[in-house]
Amino acid sequence: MKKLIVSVICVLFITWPAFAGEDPLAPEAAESLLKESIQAVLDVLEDGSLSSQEQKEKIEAIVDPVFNYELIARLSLGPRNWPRLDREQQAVFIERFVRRLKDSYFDNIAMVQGDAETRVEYGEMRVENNRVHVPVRAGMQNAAVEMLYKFHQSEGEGWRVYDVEINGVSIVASYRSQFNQVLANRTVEEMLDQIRTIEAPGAE
Amino acid sequence: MRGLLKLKRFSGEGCAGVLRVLVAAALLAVGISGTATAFSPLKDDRFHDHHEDRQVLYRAYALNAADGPDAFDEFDEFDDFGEFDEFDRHDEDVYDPLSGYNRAVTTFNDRFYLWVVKPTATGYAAILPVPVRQSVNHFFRNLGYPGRFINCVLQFKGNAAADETARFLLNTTVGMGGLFDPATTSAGIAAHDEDFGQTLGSYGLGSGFHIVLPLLGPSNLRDSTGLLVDMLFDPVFYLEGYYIGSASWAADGLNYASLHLGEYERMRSEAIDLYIFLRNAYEQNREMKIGN
Repeated sequence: MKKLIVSVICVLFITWPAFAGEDPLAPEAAESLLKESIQAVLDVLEDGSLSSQEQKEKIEAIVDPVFNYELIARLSLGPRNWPRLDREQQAVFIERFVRRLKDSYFDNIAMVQGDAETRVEYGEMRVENNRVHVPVRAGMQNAAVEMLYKFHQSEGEGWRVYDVEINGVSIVASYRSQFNQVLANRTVEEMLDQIRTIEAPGAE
Repeated sequence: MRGLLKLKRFSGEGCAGVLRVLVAAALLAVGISGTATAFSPLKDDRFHDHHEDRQVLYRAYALNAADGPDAFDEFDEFDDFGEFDEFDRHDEDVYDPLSGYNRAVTTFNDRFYLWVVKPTATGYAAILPVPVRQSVNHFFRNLGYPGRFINCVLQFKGNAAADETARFLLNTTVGMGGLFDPATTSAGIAAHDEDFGQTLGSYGLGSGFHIVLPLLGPSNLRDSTGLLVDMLFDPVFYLEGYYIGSASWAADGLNYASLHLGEYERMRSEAIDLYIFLRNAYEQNREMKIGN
């Protein structure tokens, strides 16, 4: 019995920070949300008992609440082109763009998966108003990737990612420059058609 | 960069020739600095707020959007874009006088990778196991020490220069002539990948217009100039007969490609406009490196 009490106290002590109820709106919450999610994704990737479809579903369930996909989609199209789409086109754009983002995310994660030596380090976060930027360094066998997860907090809601930089390349900025170019020469419908699918890697 | 080894011919045999190239490069760099200042602002404006002037801009965008019947219902959206004006500079038109040539070379490089480099590197990878290819890569990176050291010094990064020297000494001795990288794996000394383009950038020189180099890929006026200068710090440049240097360069490139198969393919498949994607990614990546 004594043993049981001691172990209960030990467990309580260890899990205390979880019970302490960190303020979900504090900047630190963004950082811990990121750390938990990355660890959870790595755990799923290491779990050999899951089929790739199961893995994908689990990872999607972990990642979805962390990303503000709609905001990423709108920021990627940008202020110049967003007003050119009518409401229906905006909805189609968001749906297709988010699908595309997720596809490329899973493509990229497949690269991490084959690498058992992946080490993740966190840099010092940078806070300003309702934004928090957390640097993450993922060291793999052949290369290290410097990432910057950019969180934003809209009123009353928790932290969610509005952009990710990979080796200094912002995803939103990358898409924005491409959409500005594409929509300078083509119609909205043509653009919507073009983002429907990702060509299979290496295909001609 | 070693592909441009023909330059060695007109750089002459002696030191005077080398000096001539240096002076020419410096003049070129000074010359472009005047025209290139509008590019790649190096300050980190991710957090800066130019809220009000931006609102006007976004309204103008909406008014210009001929096929946007809902534009005037969307004023709430402008707030969103105003809050995230860190991306605004990617809405500005990029001065790209070589865009036609650049697109053609991008297509050439793309085909060259897919049709020549990739099959060759795949075959090469099938013959040599990963650790061997990694050693080859370490060997070439170790040879790049003089350039990295000089550029660390030119950027007044004393600690980085010391790190690079320690890495070179350790990897050349314990690492058996650079075949292994104990500096990273055992000693944990960070590498500092500095080049002359970054040095010029750290002095405040803008990137200038974008130039896609055959075989070497995206670059710009500042960084191409940097490549020419870095070549002088490359021991391979001083090998007798430029075909040896070229062969060495090709071996390095092929070996590197064999360790990174699939990465370019993934990028190109995700791009909506490959040239714009590569141009933008290159410039963003260089800005980060210069800021580091």
